[in-house]
Amino acid sequence: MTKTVLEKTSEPTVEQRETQAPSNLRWNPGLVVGIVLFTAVAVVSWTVPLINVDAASQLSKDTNLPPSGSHWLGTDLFGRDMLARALVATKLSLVMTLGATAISVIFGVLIGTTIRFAPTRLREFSLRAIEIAVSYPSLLVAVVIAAVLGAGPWQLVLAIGLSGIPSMARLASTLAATVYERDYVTTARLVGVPKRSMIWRHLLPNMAEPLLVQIASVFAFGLIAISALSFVGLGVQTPDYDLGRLLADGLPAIYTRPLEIAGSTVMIVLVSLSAMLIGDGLAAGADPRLQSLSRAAAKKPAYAPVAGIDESSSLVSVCNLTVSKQSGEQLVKGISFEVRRNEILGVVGESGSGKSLTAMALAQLLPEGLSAAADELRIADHSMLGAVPNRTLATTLALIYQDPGTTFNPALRMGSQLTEVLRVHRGFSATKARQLILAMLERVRITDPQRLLDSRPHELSGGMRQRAMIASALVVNPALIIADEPTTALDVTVQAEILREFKRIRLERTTSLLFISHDIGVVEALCDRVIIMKDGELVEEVTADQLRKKHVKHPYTRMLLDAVPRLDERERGEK
Amino acid sequence: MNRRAANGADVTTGASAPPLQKTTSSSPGRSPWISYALKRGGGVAATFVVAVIMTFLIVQLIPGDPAVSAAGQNANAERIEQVRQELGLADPLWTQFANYVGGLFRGDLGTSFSLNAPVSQAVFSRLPFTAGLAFLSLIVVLVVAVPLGMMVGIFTRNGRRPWLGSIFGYSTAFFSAVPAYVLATVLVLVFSVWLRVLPPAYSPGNLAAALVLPCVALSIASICAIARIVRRETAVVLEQDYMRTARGWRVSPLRMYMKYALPNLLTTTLTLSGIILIGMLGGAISVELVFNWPGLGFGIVKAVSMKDYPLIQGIVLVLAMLGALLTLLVDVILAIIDPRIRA
Amino acid sequence: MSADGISEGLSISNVVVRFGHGVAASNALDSVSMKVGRGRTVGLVGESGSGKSTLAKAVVGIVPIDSGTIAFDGRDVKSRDRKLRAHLLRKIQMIPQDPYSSLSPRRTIGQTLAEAISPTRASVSAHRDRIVSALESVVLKAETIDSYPHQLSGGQRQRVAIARALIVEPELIIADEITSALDVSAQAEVLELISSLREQLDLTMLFISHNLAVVKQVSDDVVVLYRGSVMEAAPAEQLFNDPQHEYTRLLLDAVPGSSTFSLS
Repeated sequence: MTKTVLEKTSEPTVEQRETQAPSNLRWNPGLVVGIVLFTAVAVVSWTVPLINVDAASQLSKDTNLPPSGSHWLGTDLFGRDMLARALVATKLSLVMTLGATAISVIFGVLIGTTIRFAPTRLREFSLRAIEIAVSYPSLLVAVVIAAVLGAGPWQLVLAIGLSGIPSMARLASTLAATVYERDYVTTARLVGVPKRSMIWRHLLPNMAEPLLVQIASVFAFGLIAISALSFVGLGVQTPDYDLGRLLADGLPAIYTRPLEIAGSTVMIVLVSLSAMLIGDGLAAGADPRLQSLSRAAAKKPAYAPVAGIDESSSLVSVCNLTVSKQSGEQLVKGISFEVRRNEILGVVGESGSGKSLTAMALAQLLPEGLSAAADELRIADHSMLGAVPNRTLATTLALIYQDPGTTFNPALRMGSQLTEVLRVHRGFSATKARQLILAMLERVRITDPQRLLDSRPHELSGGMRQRAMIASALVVNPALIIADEPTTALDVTVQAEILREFKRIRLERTTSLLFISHDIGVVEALCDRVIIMKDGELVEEVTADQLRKKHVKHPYTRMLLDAVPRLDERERGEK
Repeated sequence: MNRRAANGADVTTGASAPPLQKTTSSSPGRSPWISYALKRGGGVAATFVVAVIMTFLIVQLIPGDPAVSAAGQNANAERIEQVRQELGLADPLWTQFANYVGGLFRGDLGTSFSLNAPVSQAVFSRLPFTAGLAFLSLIVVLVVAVPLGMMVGIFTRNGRRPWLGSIFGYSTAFFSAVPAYVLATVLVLVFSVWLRVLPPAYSPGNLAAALVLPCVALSIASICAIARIVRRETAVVLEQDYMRTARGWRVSPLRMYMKYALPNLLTTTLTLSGIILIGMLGGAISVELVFNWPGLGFGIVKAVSMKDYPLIQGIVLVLAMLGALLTLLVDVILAIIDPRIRA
Repeated sequence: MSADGISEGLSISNVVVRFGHGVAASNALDSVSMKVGRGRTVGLVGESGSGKSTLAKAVVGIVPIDSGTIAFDGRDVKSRDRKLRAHLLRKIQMIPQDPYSSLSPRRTIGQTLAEAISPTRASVSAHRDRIVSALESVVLKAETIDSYPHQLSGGQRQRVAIARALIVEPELIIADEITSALDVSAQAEVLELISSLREQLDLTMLFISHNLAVVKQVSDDVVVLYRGSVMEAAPAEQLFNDPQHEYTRLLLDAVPGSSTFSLS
């Protein structure tokens, strides 16, 4: 059963959030095809038998005819028109499936939603009961119910309907819980919105989409289940017939008159296919991630040719860098700066300033869909505008990212990840690599490095993960480390520790650091020089000292400095 | 004021970072595997208990007099009484339940009227056929769907090769929409009637060949459904931050997919696939009929039509347990792959 | 802390909140006591795991407390009397942290504010004037009434959240990390707004943040929380100039830009 995954991802930074419209239905081809197909089948199966009343049941002497002009699918043993029979059967199947789906959905959603509001004991018990119920094959449950109630169409509808309730209830209860915990529901509770209004105004509309997707699934599976049970004889009994029964009737003759099963086969496939397409279409329409799958393929980043290498003593040289989207919109609009040897350069800006993109362009790690161009883009004596061997990249440049919670692979141990570059690109053996990283972990003041290497990321605190990240960056002895908001997700005391680590790197080694942050206070304290970016442009370049003394020229820089609340008023301007 | 913080940690000045803090709260000294095994074992036991109660209630819930239905059309009053005594229906409810459970522990599942043989014999002679078919299909599904979905996911990531995405999308939608018994019928038509390469039904001595078509019929819908999930999960996993970190380490693409992406995608896939795989058991019911496969699915259909209640009870119980075992198997695989589940 | 009006305002006494059960249980809040006097703003400061958000949720009743009392104006927030509780609840309003989920994405700003005024009917037309003046008081244009949240920036959404909290005319406001998810300039806007509202309306506020500098800007008194316990509580001036507790000093030393911060 297709099921939308209600994943909890880490909080995106202010920069990464997309301010999209709430997922209003986005049409896509699958959805349209599904709806058209379904409607067509439903309409035809409803109207044609009404027009041509007797064709399906009328016995005639034209028995066992192959397809012809007057009987498009031929006739059966009793001379009845197969196409007409298929249509009648479809109508019955549709009606029964609708009934069963209605039972599953209405009771499932009711139970699932009510559970969320029940007292804790009852809720825990009900949820556990539902888990157990879901683990039984629903077809088996339906068979059992049919056994109890006896064979027949309405019994079948009831059986399939009931067997579909647990999975619907589970989904409804999960959704209700998720939506209920959202802030706007909490605040609505606090202003005193009564429970009933809460459910109609806030809960159900926000649960609607994933529910609709599931409803389409339930319908498709209900159809299959009902016809399967009719097929085995537990459902519709002769002289009535639905699609399953019709297929069962045609089965014995499969050797001699194989086409007799054609009608029911085609109809059942059409209907369940259309239901599935609708379900998937709804799911794709609602999930913005799946939207990007249909975007046109990103071109490989296009780099402008090198205009001549600058021979200055800078380690990193960026000249007229632009980063553009496929539409041509520029996110970084031609900036130039350099990073000298053994220096920490800070890059400060708010969201949308392009600071991260600049660094990623330099590292050849732009996300898909963006391309970079520059007159020069150089780290040491490698031009980052062309292809650079992986080995060189990995050992010249190391990266440290913002959110230590999601930076490491949750399925692998730290040791395996931290030594990746050492083993793959520097060719060290596993033992030697482990030795090296242990030594480095000690140098970044991890108290029990052995244990850290054997742990998985989720077992460690944020501060430790960030230190481990720093250690893995240092151990390859790179010329440049790019740190993208490395302390933003950390507590202030841990941040201070990590900043001290960076300072030590600056003092003890010759590695340069490109330090990106939105926090001007941090950058003032740590960096030697700072560049300020706004809306893709480089606004000003200053030394940290100038920042501290507020000797800045550009009004935006001044605004940033003024806007940041300070602990110590005495510091500024007077020393 | 130099108070110690509430949990006893000493908050001193100018100290380095707070001590190594494990964020998981596993009980010390107990291996995570044991607690996991206990938890899951409890789940299976609970399923068993519920199944026993439910199957017992089947007979009780039947409207009308079960003895009458069981005795058959032409039974006279005396025969009906006899059947009532045989089924123990005259006893109070608790006694019946106690007898039922007692019988279960002895391995006695009652006697089937339609077969005139002990239910346990009928059930356990059929069990290997259904279990074999189910487990074989499970393996086929996982072995085919996961690599398929993953490769399509990789080749179509970020909008590459939209034609591949469409073909995959529509064909998997199509095949997962076809009911297993319809597919079975069509397979018989194509391979047994027209091409005559595979047998259309089970016959002793021809097991391997006869296994092919039922297995295919049973697996295809699940393969399609799971391959779709895998493909979507691959896309999701590839966008995660830890994949970006791996790219920063300039790991080769193959290594990235196999070492970094695969374990994470398997986790969600298996979680979502549980329901699908259980649905396969339900599909067995109709597929077995098409192929005359002497398994539990076929058995229960016959039992229901004959109203052979002891047999129905026995088969439902065993099928339910089979389902629970399948789920357990999937969960164990999950726990091996993803240690977070164990914690 | 003000000496008079002790029984007025928010009074939290020995509150304990436990998470988990059995061996894995831990105290999110361990016997926490503090007060927010009428007309005062108390800044609640702590790092992650300190329990500050838990405390906020306990005050508004989202999280149950295991022992202790929370009283507003002398009346127990958790009292059995349903009417009393409901009455009290509208008097205490919360502004949540996340500007992206604090407003219902499917309802216009006007509808959200109308719901705050009149929870059952939530009719925009009936309360249009009041809504417009509420929007103006947070420096937003009247046209915003018909906008959807996704059309506004983070800072604007936070201002709407503030308007919604104020429109109910509460007696106590809990601001839970309301600037943490905002850019520097948006944060400055919101803080300026809070400052002016404090003056105009004589707000009683519990202002929660992990950012000491922000807390200093808006608070009269400050309470420092660490791992579920109160480390220090003092008037803002006093706490920032002459911190008594080791942990407070540690926190102040760690903020870049503070006089005691150093990277060596």
